[in-house]
Amino acid sequence: MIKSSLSYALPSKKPKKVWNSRFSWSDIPIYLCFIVFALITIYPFWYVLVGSFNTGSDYLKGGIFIWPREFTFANFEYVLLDLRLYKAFGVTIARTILTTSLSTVFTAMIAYSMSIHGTPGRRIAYWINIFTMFFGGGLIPYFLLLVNLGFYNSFFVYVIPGMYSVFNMLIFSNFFSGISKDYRESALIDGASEFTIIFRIYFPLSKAVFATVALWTAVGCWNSYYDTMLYTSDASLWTLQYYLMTIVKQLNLPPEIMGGRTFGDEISAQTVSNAAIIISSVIILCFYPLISKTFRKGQMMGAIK
Amino acid sequence: MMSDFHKNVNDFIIPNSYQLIHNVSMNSIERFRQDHSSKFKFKNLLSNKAQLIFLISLGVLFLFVFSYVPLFGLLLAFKDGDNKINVFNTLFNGEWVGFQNFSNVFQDYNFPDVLKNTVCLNTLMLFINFPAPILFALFLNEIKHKKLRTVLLNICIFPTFISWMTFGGIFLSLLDTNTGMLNPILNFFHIGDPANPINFGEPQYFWATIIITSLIKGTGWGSIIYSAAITNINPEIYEAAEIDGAGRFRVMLKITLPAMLPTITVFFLLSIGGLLGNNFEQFYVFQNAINKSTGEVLATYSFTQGISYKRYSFTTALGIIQSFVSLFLLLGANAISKKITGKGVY
Amino acid sequence: MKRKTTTLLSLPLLGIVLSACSGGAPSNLFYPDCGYADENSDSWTQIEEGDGDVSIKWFVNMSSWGTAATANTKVGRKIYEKTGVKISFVTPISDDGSQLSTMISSGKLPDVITLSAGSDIRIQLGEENYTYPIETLAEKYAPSLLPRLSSDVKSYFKQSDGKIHGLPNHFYTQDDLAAYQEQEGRNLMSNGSFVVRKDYIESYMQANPTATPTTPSGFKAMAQWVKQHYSLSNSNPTVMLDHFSSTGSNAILWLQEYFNAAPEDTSGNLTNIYEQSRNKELYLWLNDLYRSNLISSTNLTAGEGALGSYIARGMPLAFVGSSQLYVEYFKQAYQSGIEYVPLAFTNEQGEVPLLRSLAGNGWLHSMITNKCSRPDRVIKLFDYLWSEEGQSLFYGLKDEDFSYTVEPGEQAEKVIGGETKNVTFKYGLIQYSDQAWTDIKNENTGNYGFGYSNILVNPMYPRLTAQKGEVLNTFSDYIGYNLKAAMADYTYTHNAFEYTRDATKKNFTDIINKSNNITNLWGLYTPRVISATSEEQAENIYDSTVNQMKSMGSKDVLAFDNVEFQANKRNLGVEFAWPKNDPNSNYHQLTITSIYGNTSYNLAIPEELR
Repeated sequence: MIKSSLSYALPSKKPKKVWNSRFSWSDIPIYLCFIVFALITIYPFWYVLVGSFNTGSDYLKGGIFIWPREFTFANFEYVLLDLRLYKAFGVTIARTILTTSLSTVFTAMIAYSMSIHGTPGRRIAYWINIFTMFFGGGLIPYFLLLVNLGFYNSFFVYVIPGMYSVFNMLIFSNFFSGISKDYRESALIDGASEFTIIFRIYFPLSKAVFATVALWTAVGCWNSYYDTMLYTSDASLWTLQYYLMTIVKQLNLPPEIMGGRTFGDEISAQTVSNAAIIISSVIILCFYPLISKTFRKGQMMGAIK
Repeated sequence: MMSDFHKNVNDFIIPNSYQLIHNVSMNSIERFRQDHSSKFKFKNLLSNKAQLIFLISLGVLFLFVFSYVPLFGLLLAFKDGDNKINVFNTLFNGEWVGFQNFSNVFQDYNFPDVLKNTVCLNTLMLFINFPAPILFALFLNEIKHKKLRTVLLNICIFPTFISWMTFGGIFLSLLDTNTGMLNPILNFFHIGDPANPINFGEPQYFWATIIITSLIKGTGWGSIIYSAAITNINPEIYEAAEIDGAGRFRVMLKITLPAMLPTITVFFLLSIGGLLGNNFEQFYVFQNAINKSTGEVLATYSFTQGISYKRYSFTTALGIIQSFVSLFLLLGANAISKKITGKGVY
Repeated sequence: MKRKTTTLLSLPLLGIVLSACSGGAPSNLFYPDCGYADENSDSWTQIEEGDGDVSIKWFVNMSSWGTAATANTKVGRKIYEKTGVKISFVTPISDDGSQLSTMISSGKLPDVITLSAGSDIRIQLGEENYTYPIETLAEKYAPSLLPRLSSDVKSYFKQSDGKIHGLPNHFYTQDDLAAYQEQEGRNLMSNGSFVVRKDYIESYMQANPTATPTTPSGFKAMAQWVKQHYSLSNSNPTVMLDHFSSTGSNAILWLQEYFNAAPEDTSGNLTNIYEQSRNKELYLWLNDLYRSNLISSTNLTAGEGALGSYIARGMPLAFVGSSQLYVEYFKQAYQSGIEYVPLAFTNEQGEVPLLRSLAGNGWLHSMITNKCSRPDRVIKLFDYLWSEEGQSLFYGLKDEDFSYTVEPGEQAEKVIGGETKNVTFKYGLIQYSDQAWTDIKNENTGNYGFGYSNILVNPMYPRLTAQKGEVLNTFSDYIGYNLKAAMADYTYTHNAFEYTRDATKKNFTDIINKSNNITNLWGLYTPRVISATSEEQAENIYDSTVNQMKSMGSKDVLAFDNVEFQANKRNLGVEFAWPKNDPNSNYHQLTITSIYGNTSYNLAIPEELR
């Protein structure tokens, strides 16, 4: 069995004693390395932020690194006046919420049945599941299947095909098999159905796992654009990242007039691209404390990405 | 009962949920008991076993539709399906061409480049991006200030949550020849010529771009798994080592690293199995008209040939080749690992 | 085990089930039993009383197609009023063709598709019953359309059932071309352009009065002088080519014409242009420029937006490409005092270039798909857009936004080349009303829907009806005009070269496959030749690519296409498509009189528009 590395460290009963609290000289390069790494991670965002507040024509001269030279809101105005941005936002939010909630619950339910030793056909079902991780039809057959099932250019192409993930199922079922069998057995004596057991006992006990899996699913939904490229042709089904791609890849020349306002050389393709990047990252930034809390609560460590 | 749950930490299996249950959720159990002790909530129309069967077959059915039926489409690789308008018709009624499409794949003028790029880049990433989270976790463990550690971790994990389009867009902006930051920095260190700024879109920089962006995006998050393994180590071992007078690096090598070994093994094996796969979204962002010689990998190549140029049979054949090789690599690596360390992925 | 076997057995069963409900297979085309019309009056006036509005989705396979013809403009509302059809346009993100391909293989087509007239997909869609034949629809529901279809269009787009399956735009009929010659006395403008920055070239000519910047070596000398004199950095794209996509750059197409690489050999057969020595000269020249830091590597990776911003700041000395796509950026440059003018570039031998004009056998092609539920209403819409009234929508609404100064078909006097002649105006002459003209000058035309919002436009219509023979309403129009006008003497009509492939032949898809592969091959290797580090390496890459192309079946493609090419020429009644091969053409009398071309064609921008 593939052993997932979802590990749940104990919330310690006694404070963990750091074994070597003396400061030694070899600490300095370590601290330095980390600080440099952190800077390398953060600076690009700062750079793009600064660039997005600069006028387009001035940006082309180069040299905007720390602070904008010619400050302007025009780039943000341009992006925010684009109606397609809001449509894309809407699609992405709807998709994330729907897929995350449906997918985690559905997968967890099936994982439950896979984790109970008494389930008939469990071993076979297990191998059926595992096999799909090794061998698949590939791009074209999968595409043809989705088309044939009517998912092409439909919003549900974002939701239904992703509803069950073998990987997440393994994570859940590993966790479930660690839950004491006593609960289930006593519930069975009381005459509960399996669904009752799932929803009343197992799910409340697995909040942490749910949080992790939900987090990963949500982030995956929020960030993807590949499925939009393949399975849709309508502009009304664009996701946020796909919209961003049209701007970043500068596939079209930005029209001068957007939303009734004429933009001249205050904007350029590069600065508009910067502004769009900032706008699309803002949401993640807003949710970041929540995300951070999720994986710091009890020092829960995440699943394999 | 206790033995079920205090598993050997070296077995890297979860869940110490026993403690969780006791500490956290007694309430829901109690509530449940109160509900059901006196009355039947509902008559069980189906026996519990039937419900379980239902659930398990639901999963199998889903997989059947979405993972097994597409296997039928693999037949397209044996038919003449390139540039056809009606692909379904071709799949069922098309002309059989045997292994012609496979030979087309091998003789395609792009194929050597694509294969070389995929394998070499992935191997490089294995050697560079694989140890990085391990080292990150090891050295993060050395930082004493808890607050600093969490701040650093939070910062370094942030890129994982950003999409490749966003992250790639940021780097494209940063690496821009005329307006980017990297050229001036290099010039400051007397690398390169200010009058002749480097265009990082050129083929020779592609691999470095991919590796570095992968590093930044993945190291933080990847280190969490390893950090988990580290925190599972009993602190008393560390204390004993300190008493024995072991230096910091000695400790890392002899204590910390072996504790992470099981996790490392699993990830390593999975990486080998994924040697022919790539993250399409990452590569698509950085590709342009001139860096295809070093930048075209199997994932993006399948997309362009199959979807943009409608060479359906060609792409299906390519996919089959890819699957077989990946499978072979995974099984091979697993067998070797089992022989050497006695542990495998399955 | 039992479960496994049952699972395996049901696989083919499901396959059979799936084949029954396969998404893509088109059935027979459905003709509604209503909406019939007769030929006594225009079909759109014959819509039944109770027949309400129809909404259609119209996919235009061009990412830069502006959806200007929305219902919120005067023109859009007029179209709706006359035909009762609500149109919503859809465009793809990128031009790599993936969206069209996925749409077709999914079978979920929109009501109307517009795609490139020269593409093979258009032919395939027609052959495999994905689209309605226009004549059949017109006979039933819009007989007034039939006389409006010129014989050129019908014979060119004819498919194996003898019918055309869509209507083109930008199709230049022979009648219209002849009318243009009569009215204007000159050729149409070229499709591509090669422009240089006026102040740079003038200062160069002043410093070197005997230099010839029009030959490849002379041009390189000028570029190097300019670079040094004005201290342009290496990252500055001194010589800028149009942007590179996966199929290459169209700058290569235009340069092939300037270099006189022969598309047709002296016996009238089609040639493979990559096997021409002049083409190799061209590629090696570009490589030379690259190695001399005159073409920057950012040119090879930049998108259109970035290139436009370079133009707007006047960074390049020269630009080769489709200037019509960058007019707004040239305008910005002009407003900062930087002007770009055409250059009469030739090959090393000084041979007069032969530039293809805008005339061709259609640019885009609009087809009614089998998924349209009311083809009877859509064909009436097509009829309206194709009619003269529909074409006149270019100028807005009659008597409100424009009026005729000369009625269609009448004669009037006109000054051509200094002489006064009596000319028949095929479509009349039009001028804007005062209100419309004021709005145009103030760039306040948002709600009119002027211009090319008619997707079925015949661009000869606005040309022949405009006072000056070209659409010149705005500042940008004049800028775009002056980027090309001076080279009008050296253009030729390209219609003979725009042939279609015969879809009934057995190896049709095989030829498409080979042809696409070859296009992609050159798209991939052209930048590599250009950016090679030495002349020897560039030559090696070029030669090996030619060999690769040959091994990919270029000969078969050429043989196949040559058959169509000869048939096309026969239809048009010409023996030679390339004027240089034709002993009777006036090409042989042409000379380069000035490095700026024939500047008498240039028009000064009226003060009121600035």
